[in-house]
This record gives sequence, structure tokens and C-alpha cells, in this order.
Amino acid sequence: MTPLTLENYLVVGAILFVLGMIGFLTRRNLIIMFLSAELMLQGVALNLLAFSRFRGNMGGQVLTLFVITVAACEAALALAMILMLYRRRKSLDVSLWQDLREPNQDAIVDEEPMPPAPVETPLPHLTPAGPEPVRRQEEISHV
Amino acid sequence: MTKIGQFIQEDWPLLLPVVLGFLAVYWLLPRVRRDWMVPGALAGAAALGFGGWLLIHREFATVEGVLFYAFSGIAIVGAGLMLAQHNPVRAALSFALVVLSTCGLFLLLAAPFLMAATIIIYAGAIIITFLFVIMLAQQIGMTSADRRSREPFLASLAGFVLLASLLVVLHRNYDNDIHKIDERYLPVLEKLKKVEMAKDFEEMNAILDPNQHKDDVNPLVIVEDVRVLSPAEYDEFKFMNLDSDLAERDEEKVRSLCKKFAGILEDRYRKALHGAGSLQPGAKLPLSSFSGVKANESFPSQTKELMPAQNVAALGKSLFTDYLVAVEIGGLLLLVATIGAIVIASRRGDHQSGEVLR
Repeated sequence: MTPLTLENYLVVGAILFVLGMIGFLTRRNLIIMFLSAELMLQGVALNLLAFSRFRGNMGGQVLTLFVITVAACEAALALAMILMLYRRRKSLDVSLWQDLREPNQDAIVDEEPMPPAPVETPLPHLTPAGPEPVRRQEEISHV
Repeated sequence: MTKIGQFIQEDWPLLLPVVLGFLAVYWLLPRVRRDWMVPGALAGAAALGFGGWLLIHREFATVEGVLFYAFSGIAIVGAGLMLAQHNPVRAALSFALVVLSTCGLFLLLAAPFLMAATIIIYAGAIIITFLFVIMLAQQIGMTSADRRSREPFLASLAGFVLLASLLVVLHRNYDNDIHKIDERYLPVLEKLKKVEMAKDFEEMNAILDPNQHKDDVNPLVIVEDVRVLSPAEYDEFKFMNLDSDLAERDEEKVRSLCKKFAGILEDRYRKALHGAGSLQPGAKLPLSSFSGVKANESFPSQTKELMPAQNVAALGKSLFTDYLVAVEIGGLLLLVATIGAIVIASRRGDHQSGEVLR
């Protein structure tokens, strides 16, 4: 009998926003960082739409439309920048750009070594074929 | 310290899922040695289950409720997967899952146009372009950067402290209001249901007899207080004060009146819940009425439906009246972003730094 309230939607929006924030702070791949930013925008859009629904005003939906517009612009610029950065460093790792940090900031060093890459098993080879058998005249004429 | 203790004592049902979620995200974030995957997944499942149970503690069996919990559950799980994936392609696909399920939530929130637009723009255009860039840039597969996180502990701590404070504020604001509304409406509704269920007239009389009850449980007193009934409806339900139907011992008439009254009151109860916990601007502010209900209109007095049936028409009307300048600026922004993307992505910069073209 009791219907859903505004609070339920705001809680989901808050969770999505926080997960996106954590992703933006921790992940090191440029593309995943931008996906996390988009996740934060999704949480905000959910909030705006929930307010719009529960206040009966279209303002929230209009704002969500503008959020989508800005997200599209952001994606276009971000992808162009990612491509440019990739051409410079040949990697999507943001830590390669840490020479842009403040002068008194320490550099991030990966302390834990990567586990050794698994040794690739060589592909199986066919046994080499022998010399071509000599065919008699009758065999050739049958073919 | 006593204040912190008191805070934890009062709000532990909110803080427990937050702590579990913190552990889950901290353990699941990518790192070189993945020893804590299983406990992380278990903690995440426990946090989702416990948090869902907390939200469900109110009685729920509607289609809307089931869909809401399904969509939001998928969205949160998808977001968690996006954080935990090593492989950027899989992370992009999990983000597509999040977008699709939030679009389900958009539909529940009466925004079909935005649902379609989000699916087309996000899932159709943005994620596909991201996948193209991943395939252009990372043809060898995962790099070592995908297997590491920057400061996983501090970042998850900051995130979940923010989440906990948001949840506590929301809880304190909304649950108090909802509790007040429940106290106001539910006893009367329960009473009217009892009258409908009553076997004979004596039982009905015992439930409804105005002489036996104080004013706070008399339905009419509450109706007058809430001012939800029109004058005609008010006259119709006056019988309870006048006691005429009870005096006439007309069982069917009382029953049908109570049923009708319960229906109207239930509708008012839903609308009151809609407005729970909101702050309103002053009634004298000159607000535009092009975008639907004015923000300073009071909620219980609304008798019409909140959202317009024609979503796109209402959205267009709002866009081209109240938000006309913003639409123009949005168009300009799109143009500038297009030019900027072309300038940034063009290969001219490379030629300037390296060998000169021609």
C-alpha cells in the first residue's frame, strides 16, 4: 500500500554518484576514469528526475536533458584528448602524466611488482611431410 | 566521544551497510594480488541485501516497488563491476548495464523521452565510441596500469564517508516527515477498513461511535485538519458527526460511505507522501507556470495528477518557454565542442613537433 517515496530514488542516486567518484579517484586507465565521470552524471540525472517527478515540475527533466547535452560534449572532447595523449605516450595510463604534478608532490611509484606473465605455450606444428611420391602414368591418367 | 557513540547507536542500521559496502569496494578494486575477491563479493552482497531490507522495511508489494528494487539493484551491481573490472572493454559494457537499468528507473519516474534519449546517446553513441577508442589504443589487451589502483583505501574511505553523511541526512529529513504523515492518516484508514470488514451493525457502531473516541481518531477531525475534501465531499461525510446513519442503523449505507471515504483518504495519503520532506519557497514568489506545478504550491491541496500525460509535449513547452536561453546556449556549447574535438584530434600537432609536412 505504501508507495515509493522521493527518498528511495535519492539514495540510489547517491550510491551511483559515490561509486563513480571512487572509480574516478582510483582507476588509472583514462577511459575508465571518464566512464566513472559519466556514472556520477547518471546519479545526478536520477536525482533531478526524482525531484521532477515528486514535485510535478518539468524543470528537472529539462535539466537532465542539459546534463545529457553536456555529457555528449564532454565525451567528444575527452575522447579527442585521450587519443592525443595516447599518441604522445603510447599508453592510457594516467600515471605516465604525473610530471604535470605540483613541485612539492611526491611521484607515485608502483611498489608491488607485477606477477610474471604466463609463459605462452607454443602452437602445435604439423609433422613435416616427406618427399613427393613418384606417381605412375596410370595414376595420373585416372585423375 | 559520547556524541559519536550516540550517533552510532542511533544510526547503526544505516552505517552497517555503508561499512560493508566500503569493505566490498576496497577489496574489489583492482590490484596485482587478488586474494580478497571472494570476501569482497560477499561483503557487497551483504551490503546490498541489508540496505535493500532497510529500504523495504515499509510494506511493499506494488509493481512499481518490485521494478524499482530490481532496476536499482542491477544499476548498483553494474557500477560495482565497472570499478572492479581489470579489462576496460568489460568495464565499458558494465557501464552500459548501469545506463540501461537507470533508464528503467527514468521510466518509473515518468520520463519516457529522457529514457529513450539516454539509451540512444549513452548506450548507443558514447559507449560505442569509447569501445572504438579502447580498440584503437589498446590492441595488446590489458596493461599493468589496469591491474593497479591509486590509493584504494583513502579513495574508498572518502567516498563512503560522503555516502554515509548523505544517507544520514536523507534519513533524518525524510523519515521524520513520513512518520508524521503515517501517524496522521494510517489510524483513520485502518479504522475505515475495519468498518468495511465489520460483520454486523453493532460492531460498526462500536468502531465509529463518536462519543467513545477522542477527537484525534475521529476521521472527520483529521479531514478538516488536512483540508483535503471539497465542500461537497465534506457534506457527504458529515454523517459521522451528525450520527444520523448510525441512528438509522442503515448498515449498507455506512459501509459504502466508509469505503468511498477510505478511497479518497488513501489518495490523499499518497499525495502527502509525495510531498514529504520538501522545503518550499515562499508563496508570494512569482514563479512561472509553464513547467508544471509551481514550486511554491502546497502539496495536499493538489487534486490533479502531478505529471502531465504527454511527456514530450510538456518537455517541449518547458524548453521553449522557461529555458529558451539555456537551449540556445546548449546549442552553442555543442558547436564549440565539435570544433574543439576536431582541432584536438587532428594530427597537425604531431607534424609541428616532428618532421614538417611538405
